[in-house]
Amino acid sequence: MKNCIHILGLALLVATVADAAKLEYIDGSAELLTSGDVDLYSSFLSASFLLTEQSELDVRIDFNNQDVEYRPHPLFDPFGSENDLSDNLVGATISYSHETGRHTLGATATTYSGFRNYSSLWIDEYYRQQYSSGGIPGVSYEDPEPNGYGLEFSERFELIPSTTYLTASVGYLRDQVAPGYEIGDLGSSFELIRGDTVLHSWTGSVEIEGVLNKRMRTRQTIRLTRTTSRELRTGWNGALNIAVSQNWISRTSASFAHENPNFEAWSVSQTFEYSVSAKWSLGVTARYYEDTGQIESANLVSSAAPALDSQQFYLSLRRSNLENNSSFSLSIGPYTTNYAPTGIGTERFINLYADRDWWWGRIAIRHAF
Amino acid sequence: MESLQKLINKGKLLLLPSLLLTASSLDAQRYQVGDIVQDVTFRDYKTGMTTSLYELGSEGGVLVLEWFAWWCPFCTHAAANVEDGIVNYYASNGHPNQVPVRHIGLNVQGNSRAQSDTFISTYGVQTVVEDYDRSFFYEFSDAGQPLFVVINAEPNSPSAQQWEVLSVWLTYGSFPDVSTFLRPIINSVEAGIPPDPALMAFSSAPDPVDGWYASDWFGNFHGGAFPWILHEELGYGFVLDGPGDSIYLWRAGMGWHYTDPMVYPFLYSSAIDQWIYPLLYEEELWYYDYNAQSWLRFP
Repeated sequence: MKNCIHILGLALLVATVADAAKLEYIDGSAELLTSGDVDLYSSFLSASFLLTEQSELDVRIDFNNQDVEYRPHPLFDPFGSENDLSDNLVGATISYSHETGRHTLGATATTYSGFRNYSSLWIDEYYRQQYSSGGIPGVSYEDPEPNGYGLEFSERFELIPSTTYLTASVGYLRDQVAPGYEIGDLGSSFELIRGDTVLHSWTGSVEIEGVLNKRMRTRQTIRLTRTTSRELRTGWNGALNIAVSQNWISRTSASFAHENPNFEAWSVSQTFEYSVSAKWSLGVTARYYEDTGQIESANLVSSAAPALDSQQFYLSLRRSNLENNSSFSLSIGPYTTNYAPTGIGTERFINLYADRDWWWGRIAIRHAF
Repeated sequence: MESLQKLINKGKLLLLPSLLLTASSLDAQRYQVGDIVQDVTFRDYKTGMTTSLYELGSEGGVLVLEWFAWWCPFCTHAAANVEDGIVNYYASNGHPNQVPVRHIGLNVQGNSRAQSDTFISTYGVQTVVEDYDRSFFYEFSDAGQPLFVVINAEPNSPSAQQWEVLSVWLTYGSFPDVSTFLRPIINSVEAGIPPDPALMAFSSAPDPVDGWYASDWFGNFHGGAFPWILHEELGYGFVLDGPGDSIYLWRAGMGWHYTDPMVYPFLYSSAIDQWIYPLLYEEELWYYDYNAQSWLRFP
């Protein structure tokens, strides 16, 4: 409810601004990721307004829907029962930027309400089925209301005019999450303990983006994230775009993240795009991701995901109108996720962390005014 | 060997007060493999009746104790394994030495009847007792469940003493194939040797403890090397069943004697052809010789 009020406020702000500002362009996207038992729909609509020659306002509304067939493993979770879960996430983001000479200052506020991923939805259902009927002293299960809000401030500096940009940003995000539960041992009895319900995340990043030569453009980002009860996470991601020829473009990106004590993740993605004509282009993308698994706590029951690798492959068709910088694209392709075997403490989530074959599709539009 | 074990056990008892002063004594107080488990009473989870460890093992054989809590994933994993690999396995194949194998679940989580019922029915646990305060659990371990303890309940088994701990195995935090680990231990239990017929004269005596019999008419004696016995008053001797409940006792230097529940402590000595009345005096055994009308010392 709180987030709905935020979003309503944002809509009113947009309506006010639209009167006084020039609408530059709108972006929209709708994605569907579906496997046999999990369907994930996500979409957004954003608009960019030019307030003055130096300042710009972007607003964005997100809507996601998750449909999950909750299927506990009958042998390892005899207390669970099948259930079809559905949840919506609604989010809103507003960004303001102001350019002064070679400096651009930016501020972004974001808010959302709903489960951020289907794993959280699944895990919460597990805890609900296990602990909502009591039986263990201590806390009892409570229905969560996951939501959050955040702020980010950035400074973009034009190092070399029209060529190289350096951006530094700091951000804060407060998440009210669906907590985990664990069994505490009191010696002669046990008690149910609830985990953190609020997580605070602080982020800081430095990004450099620039033209290397007339055919190559790159972007490198280093990001630090500190979240409640966790160690500092360091991450890097980089992208390199190459105009191979008049018709061919290569887009390469990679990322790496590390968090003590033993989490590491990396990914690499490669896209080749071919311009069939002045308006139409075809693209093919392959992406690989791998991590070492979430950092498992010492809890008796752990919902931490085991090591994951995933492969994604998709084809894209894009129609661009260079005259007004508008475009339309359609992408579709298979996506597979493969988890390492679950440990005993994670065995009750064996169907959550099952290998899945997905299909992914996306429609995206952009229209400039 | 058994006497030695007894002396060792006595030694442990004597050392106990001092051991209590040290942290390491906490482990020393826990049952280890080879220890004899004392009887303990439980409440039967299903019937609510009081039962005991010795009662649960009264048919002899092997007791496989499994502590569990319904919410414990390690317990569910182990219980599934044990149901197939122990309970169903011995129900189908039997024990190689023809002794019964009894699986007993010990529930450590009270106040969760519905969930515990689900656990018990899912994994086919036939016998369940309550150990909600984990008092019996702590006799073996101070860690978490599931805990497995194998006890020999077979009397007179050549492989182990009755109520001897054969295995203490905590499986929390590991990936155990419980059945593969426990089956050789369970299979190692040999069937008890039936009592020698000569001991039928003492059939009313309780089961021996460390080889010591307590006959209600013949007194205490050690029968570990039967038919040789060590009587606490008469000393070493050799016994055979006589008619009815009577026995023949052979004693070095004095030959054969006859006695029965009606006449004991009188013995009829075949060597001197008369009844004698043995008397232990200042750690020596004497008897009154009616022919000589004087007290004589047993040789």
